[in-house]
Amino acid sequence: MLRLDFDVKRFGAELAFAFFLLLIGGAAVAGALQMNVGWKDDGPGAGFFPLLVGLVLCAACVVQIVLTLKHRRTLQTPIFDGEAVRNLSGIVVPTALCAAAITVAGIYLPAAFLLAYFVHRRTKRSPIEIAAIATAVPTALYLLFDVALEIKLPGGWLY
Amino acid sequence: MDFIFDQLGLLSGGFSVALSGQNMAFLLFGVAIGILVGVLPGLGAANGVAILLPLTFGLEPVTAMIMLTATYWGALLGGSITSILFNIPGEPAALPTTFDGHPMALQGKASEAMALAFTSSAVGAMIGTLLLTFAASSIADFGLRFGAPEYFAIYTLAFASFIGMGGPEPIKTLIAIMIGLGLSTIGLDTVSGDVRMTFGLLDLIKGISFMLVVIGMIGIGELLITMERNLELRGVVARMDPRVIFRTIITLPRYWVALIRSAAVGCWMGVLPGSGATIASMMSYGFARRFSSNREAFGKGAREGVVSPETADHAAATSAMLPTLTLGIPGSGTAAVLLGGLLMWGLQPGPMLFVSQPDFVWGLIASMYLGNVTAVVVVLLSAPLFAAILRIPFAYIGPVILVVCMIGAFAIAMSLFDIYMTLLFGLFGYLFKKLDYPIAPLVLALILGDQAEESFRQSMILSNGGVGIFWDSTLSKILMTCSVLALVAPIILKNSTRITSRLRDQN
Repeated sequence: MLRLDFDVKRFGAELAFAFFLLLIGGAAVAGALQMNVGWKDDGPGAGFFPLLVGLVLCAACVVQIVLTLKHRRTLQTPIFDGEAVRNLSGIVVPTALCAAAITVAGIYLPAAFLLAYFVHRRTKRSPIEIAAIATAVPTALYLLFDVALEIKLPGGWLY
Repeated sequence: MDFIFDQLGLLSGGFSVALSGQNMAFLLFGVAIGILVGVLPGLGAANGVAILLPLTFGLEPVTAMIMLTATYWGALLGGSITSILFNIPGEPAALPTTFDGHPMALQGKASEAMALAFTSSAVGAMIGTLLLTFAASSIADFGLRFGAPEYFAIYTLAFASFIGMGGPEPIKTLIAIMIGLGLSTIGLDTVSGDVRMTFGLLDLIKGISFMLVVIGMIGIGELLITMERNLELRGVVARMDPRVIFRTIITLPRYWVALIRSAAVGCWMGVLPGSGATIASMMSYGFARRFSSNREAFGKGAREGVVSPETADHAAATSAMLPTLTLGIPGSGTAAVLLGGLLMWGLQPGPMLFVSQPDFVWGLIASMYLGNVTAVVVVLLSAPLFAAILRIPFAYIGPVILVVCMIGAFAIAMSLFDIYMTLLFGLFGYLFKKLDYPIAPLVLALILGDQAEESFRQSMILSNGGVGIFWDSTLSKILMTCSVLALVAPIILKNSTRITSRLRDQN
């Protein structure tokens, strides 16, 4: 298994996230500037409010960056480690693959595989128990959504 | 007197709506699901309501709202089970219940602690609902006087309260609100018809549903935090003894001072936007300890330490529905999700809702009495059963919730893009949680964003671009002054406390 031995301190994470949010604020300003940000016959243009929001967001992010730098010494506790990143990617990557498979295979089959994968990875149960869980849950969801609530979800390869 | 009879007349009409077989069945289902999500740490009322929302599209709005609010009441009670038996709050607002509830469980009084928690919850919920019953019409009538500037002023007050009282880092709350407002501007501009902030992505033209954000950031984000920790729970095994329950209920009036004080704190915190049940229960626990003649017993299994936070918690949750229904300003994060649900069904919360949809409004208020009583009865009968669920490894429950979240996100608009967006918001929510950025203000801003922008633009048209309009009428002047106070008062109070303690140290 891939070894991930590292710690990310709170300071670095806070700073990186604040910069990321500043980028989002910048994108909001750029998006707003593509619209009319001035006064039109029917009042403020479509870009006026998003521009205001983007500018306040940028200003707030700059303040947050300054505050993070100011409190650098107190923000030295580790917040992410290799173990957490491995656990997290073990959840996010299969879930994203499952989401991608929904286009062709429908919603229930990928969901069954995703459940089987998680239960196997986290509990190491017998294949029969895993198959039972992976079948029972999507079947219950099918009965709830498609049959009881009449919300027709894509069956894909199943129907 | 006439006023009271009028309200009681409207309420009895509401009971005839709420007591229909279908509505009661969905109420019971909502309570059961609520207790389940409340019991599971990492899943709270807001998540439960958000995940259930797409399931309610086929239902009548009143039935759907009855089920969703019942989920809310059930989740609050479920949170107390986990607090008492496992020393982990199943719901954030149930945190102070761990302080004395768990020590009681360790002393072999789990049944008594749970009976105390549930029955005092019922008292808090009833007082909150009574406030809603008798104050709603007056506030809604008052709300009819609001024009665009007053509405913008009240939205400003809601945002300012969140920033002022939201937590130790107000700048993070401001950032969260701005992101929520920014997300609300994506898609078609309803005034000009322009497509904006989509950056060329066609899937964004329809805008970003608040549900994707709630399911992603609150549902999946919280789940990622829980699964990252590989949570294993070990708790006290308990069974509910009917004799103990009865004995506990008859001793409850002994705590009438704590009950009234906590309900008052809860109602106040519930009505005020930005505070909500968690602050109410923490504050109420603090008051109970400060005013108790037996302060040393707190933290070691004091009964008042269970009664106070539970009463305040439920009073806050129920009274949070007052500004939500009458003015369209949610008093808590879960109330914000419920408000979003109302908007999705085409029901505009606010004073006109009381005029145009009285059956809906009073049916919902009546269901709050029924829902809370039903929830307490169900939880008293089934607490050990729900506690047993916590012994199922989270490795089973977590992935099931993840799959339900994905299906829920897909069901909103049958769009695959929405699933990707939800997963993205899930990661975003995880980072928010990790770095202590609050999510509730973001959701509130996203839900209220359209209306806030609309009232702002209408005000600007009325004043020909002058911001002085927000200080023109007495009402908007009061609301704007309250907004400024809500924003700066906590900062002044914090600094004055610091200065006082420094001066005390010097002396």
